Amino acid sequence: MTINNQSEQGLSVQHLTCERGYRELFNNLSFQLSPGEILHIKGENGAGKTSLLRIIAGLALPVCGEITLDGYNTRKYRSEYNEKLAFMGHKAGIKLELTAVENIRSHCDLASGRSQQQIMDTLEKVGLYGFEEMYCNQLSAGQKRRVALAQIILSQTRLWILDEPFTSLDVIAVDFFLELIQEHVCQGGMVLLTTHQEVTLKNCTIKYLQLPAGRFSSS
Amino acid sequence: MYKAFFNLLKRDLRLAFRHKSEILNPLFFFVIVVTLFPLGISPEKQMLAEIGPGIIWVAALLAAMLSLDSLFRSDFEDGTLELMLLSEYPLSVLILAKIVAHWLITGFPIIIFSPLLGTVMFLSNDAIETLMITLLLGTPILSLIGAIGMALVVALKRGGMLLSLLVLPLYIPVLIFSSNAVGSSMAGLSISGQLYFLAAFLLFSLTLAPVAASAALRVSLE
Amino acid sequence: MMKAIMKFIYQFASPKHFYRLSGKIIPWFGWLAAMLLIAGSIDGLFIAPVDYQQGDSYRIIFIHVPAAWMSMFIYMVMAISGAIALIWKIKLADVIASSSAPIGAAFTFLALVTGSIWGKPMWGAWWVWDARLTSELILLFLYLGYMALESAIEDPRAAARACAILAIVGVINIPIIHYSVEWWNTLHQGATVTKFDKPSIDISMLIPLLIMALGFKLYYGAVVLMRARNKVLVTEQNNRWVKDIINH
Repeated sequence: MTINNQSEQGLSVQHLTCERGYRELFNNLSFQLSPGEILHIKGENGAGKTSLLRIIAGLALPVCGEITLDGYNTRKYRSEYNEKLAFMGHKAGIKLELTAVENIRSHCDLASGRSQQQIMDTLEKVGLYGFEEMYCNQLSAGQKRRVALAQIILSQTRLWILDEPFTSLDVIAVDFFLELIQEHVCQGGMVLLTTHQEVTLKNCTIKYLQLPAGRFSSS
Repeated sequence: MYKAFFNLLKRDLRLAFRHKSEILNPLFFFVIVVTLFPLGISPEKQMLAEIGPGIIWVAALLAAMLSLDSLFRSDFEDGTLELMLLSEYPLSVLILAKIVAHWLITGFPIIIFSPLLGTVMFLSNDAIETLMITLLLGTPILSLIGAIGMALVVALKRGGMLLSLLVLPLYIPVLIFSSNAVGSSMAGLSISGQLYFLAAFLLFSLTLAPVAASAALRVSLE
Repeated sequence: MMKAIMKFIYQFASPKHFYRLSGKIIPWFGWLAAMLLIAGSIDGLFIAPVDYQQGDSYRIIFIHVPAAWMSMFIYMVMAISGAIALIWKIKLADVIASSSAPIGAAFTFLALVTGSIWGKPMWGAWWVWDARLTSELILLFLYLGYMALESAIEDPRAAARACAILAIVGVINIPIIHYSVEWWNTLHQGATVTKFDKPSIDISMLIPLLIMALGFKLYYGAVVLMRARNKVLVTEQNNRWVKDIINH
């Protein structure tokens, strides 16, 4: 096994096939994402958007196919791969019994540590100034999402995988989210996201991936 | 890596102290189950002393099993378990941290309270001492093996009954050797063999269970 | 070299190839099993000498012992094929493992029932907490847990992998459980000699026993292949060759 050289930057997905039950969701899916690009995955309900994101995150197992990030294979170099990746799924990934700061602290301990100052700054940035020491079960759904976003920003990873990040957010919050995404991408990051909303961003490349409509196997 | 381990341990302990029922419920359960037996069988001293070791251990087994739900369930539901799977640190180390926390929360209080139950079951002082030693060696095994079972059923809606079916047969060796050790020390016999077995089994499950549980979690969260 | 071997194995284990090959093997296994079981039964029931202690009632061992052997053997098969499926991602191994579980459970149950019938004249009770019987009972619990887990997980691939992990954990634990039950038993019933432990067995009794054991093995082979064939058709239902078979 040789690790591919540094020149191969970005995410590469090759010949991916995914099944749910005995139904094939997509097959032989290949795409490439370079630093500074956003991939907006589109598709009907049940087309396999979430499945695709979970496979790329390394949470789910594809039937076949290969995924590499900067030359590191998902499963063979899990630790190196995970180091570069931040994931926000349907579940926010925050503990309601902990305060915002505690949540971020415990999440950052799973990655490399961050200083208290950085955490405070980021919380202020996502608009949670004054809510730092509040238990998360006292926060609104949108605010919880903001905590999750702060976790993602603080993870300082290159690839963000966001599954429906805009649910339970108001228009202002969505715009704010998009700004942060844009900032991340402009710094050479990559974003994979699914959303039903149109994503409009200035001065960065948005790629689109349309998953085939849900097919049902004939029995 | 050590930092990740201890921080996760600290987080789980902090969560448990905010949810005190998580600590107290298994303990109450343990005490109540033991109390049922004198009521159901007989309060006779001789009889209770004879069946006491077995009863206390069966109750500890059931308490440990019922408390397994708190090991992964809430982390699964709010998505933090997913984030642990995506951590750059080895999952088995993180899981070991969670298991240690779980044992401190549920197993340790049981050990503290066991002398009380030993007394009401008329165990001799030697037997109570042995009871505490066997619990000290045995309850971590229950948490370790239970973690594998819990990891397999965490994503299932009604996993509770299934969990008991998966885990209880694997608990049998612990039950046999522990309750026997307590009984033997009651009778004044040597118990080193049983304790060696428990210690060996503990080391064995300490090395293998976190690995098996992390493999099971990766399957469950797919 | 390794790659060539793996390629051969993958090809051999391809569902299509398996379906064709197993179709040819099943009749052989089936008929051989039938012949051996008949021969073994005749030999065991009529030809083998009467036991000087137990009379004719010992003859149930020709069912009981092979069934008990099978119950262990099949659990091993499940664990090994589970490991193969996890490591080399050979789907067929999962199919073999999950097809084996009910058969193994049935053999375990058979061993328990025959053991208990055998025990009745020996001990005067239908159930005695004998070490072997107790181990067998726990093994039955392990089988039931395996099948319960399999049916509880909806996604078939996830179910297969979860069950593989469970089977491996189980197989590591079986010796420990067995040892502890044995130890527990000698402690509590040290005085009564268990009738299941025969220090030696006469050659005239051993021959029918081995014939029966081989018959049981072949029977298992035939049945597991039949079940696996059906499962392969279900899991590969989207493939062309399966549709061809069904349409014919």
